[in-house]
Amino acid sequence: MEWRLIHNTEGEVADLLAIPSAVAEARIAGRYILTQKAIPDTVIIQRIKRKGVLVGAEVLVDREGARREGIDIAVQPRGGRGSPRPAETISLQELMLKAKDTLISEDCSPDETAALIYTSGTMGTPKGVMLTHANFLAECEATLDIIITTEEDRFASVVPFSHIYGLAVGLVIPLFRRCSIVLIPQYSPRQLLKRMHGENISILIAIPSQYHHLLIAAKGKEFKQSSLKYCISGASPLPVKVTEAFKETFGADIIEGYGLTETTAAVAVNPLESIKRGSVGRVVNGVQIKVVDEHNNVVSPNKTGEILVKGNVIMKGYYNLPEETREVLKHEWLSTGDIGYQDEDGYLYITERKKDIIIKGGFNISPAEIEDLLCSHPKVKLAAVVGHKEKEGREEAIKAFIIPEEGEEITTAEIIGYCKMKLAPYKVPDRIEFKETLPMSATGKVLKRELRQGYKDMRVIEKE
Amino acid sequence: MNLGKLLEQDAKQYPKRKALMYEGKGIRLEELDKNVNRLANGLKDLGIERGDRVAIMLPNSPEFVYSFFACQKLGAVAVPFNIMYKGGEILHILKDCGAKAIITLNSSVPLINEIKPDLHHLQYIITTGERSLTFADPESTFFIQCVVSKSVFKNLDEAYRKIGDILVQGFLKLGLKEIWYKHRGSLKIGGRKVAGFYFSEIEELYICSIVCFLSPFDPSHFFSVIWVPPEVKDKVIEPLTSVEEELGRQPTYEEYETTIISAIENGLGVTLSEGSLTRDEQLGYEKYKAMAKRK
Repeated sequence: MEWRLIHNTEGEVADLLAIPSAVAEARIAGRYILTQKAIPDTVIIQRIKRKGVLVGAEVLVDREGARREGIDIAVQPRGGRGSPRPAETISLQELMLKAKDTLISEDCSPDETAALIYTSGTMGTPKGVMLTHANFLAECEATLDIIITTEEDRFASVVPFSHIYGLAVGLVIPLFRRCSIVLIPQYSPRQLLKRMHGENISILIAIPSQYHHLLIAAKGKEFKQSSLKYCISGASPLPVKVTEAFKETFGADIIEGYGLTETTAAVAVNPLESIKRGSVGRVVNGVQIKVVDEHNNVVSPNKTGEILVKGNVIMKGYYNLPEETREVLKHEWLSTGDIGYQDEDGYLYITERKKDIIIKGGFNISPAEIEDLLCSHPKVKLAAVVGHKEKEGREEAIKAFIIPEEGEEITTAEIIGYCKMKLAPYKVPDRIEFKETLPMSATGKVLKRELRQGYKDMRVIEKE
Repeated sequence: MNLGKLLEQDAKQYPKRKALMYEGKGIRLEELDKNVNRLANGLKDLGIERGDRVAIMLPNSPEFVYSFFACQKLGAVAVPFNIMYKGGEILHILKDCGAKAIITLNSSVPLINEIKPDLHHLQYIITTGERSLTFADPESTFFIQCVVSKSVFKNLDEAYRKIGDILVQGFLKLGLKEIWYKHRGSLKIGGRKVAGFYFSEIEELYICSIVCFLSPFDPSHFFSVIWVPPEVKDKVIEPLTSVEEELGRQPTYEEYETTIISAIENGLGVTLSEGSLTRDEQLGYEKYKAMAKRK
């Protein structure tokens, strides 16, 4: 059998699309033209002479950036019916086209699971959190007088709907409050700035690192716009300096909330009319919070302990994991694994993840305390502290990962010296490692599990 | 009350409310509800029932909203997860929840294909979106495409197996002894990908697109074109390796070419003869190229 070989050694990125499409098209058309010689099976070998990207029609590209970097852009046009599609898959559009637009929905009870959302916390394999219809409806109720909206409001969430914060606060709440939702499938700070202005967004849902990106994109220029009423931040702690700079640049407050996947997002939110910076705010309606010591006794205000939560927003449990569910859910109280305190006005402050606490020589050591100190050093941009087993696991050491500020040089001795001045001796890090980046989740949390020893990259598929 | 009924009720009461804004267009509640019904009916026709798990791996698009609420109306369980997830992460979720269907982007299909043999519950891959992304770099990427009649292979499984075998033979010949291929579409050394391919179909044709990584791929230039949050840059691209990294030397382009050509000839029992595009193909090529470059 003879096949045709087509060489394209001086190609450009558009050829990756154009040659096979042309061959396929001519071949299909050729079947209907009897006089034409049939086009044979064809192999195309392509070598590209300049850098390029071939992108789908919905991908946001920066053409200016491409010109600057000398990168070609080729856009794959929207495929209609009859254009090539991944083999043995079903087209969502065709599935919808063929179906009726009326339906009597199932009579589910509120206690049935509506969504299963996987979360790994900072360690372990991800567990499926079962959230019920009632959980989502309770979250809508709970935030009524704290996330204040009118039907004129336009929400925009740059947090993925796949994350509970995006799903509950960015989609379900605004939808059932009959606000409009501006959909942002792919986010870039500059585009977002344009859209905030152009589409009169009034409530923005984002995570701390996105607010930080927006500030960089705004480059200190004022971007005050009357439509933006306030912003909401969650999923990881929001530095007070970001809140302040944001208010100055955009003229809007960022209210911070606190919640877990297990609590259908927010259980505490900083109320707009009485924000306490640094706090994650007051408990929302219908939810109870208590802070307890290691004997499960409630501690007095301003004393730290583990945070427990109760209410209709609490998950049904972890999917197929009754043991793990019982471990965190006792008498309707959910152990959050977060350490914090409540002040006398009931405002909640989060200080630490329980699992991150390092136990060294009998002392409980707070990585957050060391991280805060390290970050206060003018040459340190970001720091993460984890426990590190040494001497075949017999000793626990403190290991600090540090990203220096751009253009700064810093030595281990400098860091250790700084810590010794300001920390008790047993809290001074034993090991320092400088890095250019730290592993982060899509919602901006430093992934400490990836910094610990023996970390296995979950993305990798092994042979066996 | 449940989420499906609530949407139904709201759509009846406030049909004209603008619920979603997408690409400059508004989608009103009644239209949203109808689209949700269409998708729910479509899923129902596939056999999705109350209690079934349906994975959703989509960005914040109207299709996400339709998928989520279609599940709610059917009493199915929506399992949304991040579009940045890769191999093992997706495998764990789909296996653990036993999803019967996944709704995802066309561009994520190769990732799902690769793990599908281990997912016995997964019956349907439903796709949407024009979000594919291919980086082409003269130094590090090498592309091969085949446009062939479906009848060359018995079925798609055989097609994936044969092309996988051909590439393994080619890489072995280049000296990559550790190369392995098990699942649809991904050749690996250790846990890292060194080449990947996928099949598209149109009428009676398969289009197979193969990319091989020749030398270390540095995506940093591309990040000035496709904006990615700096914190997650290392998560955007799946773990890769390259011929040069594994072999400690870079074969010449001619070496690649002759190796791959003879692997294809042996693997499929065909002879490849140099040819060029016909007049019709040339016209089609110009048209597609102009379309691709249009702003």
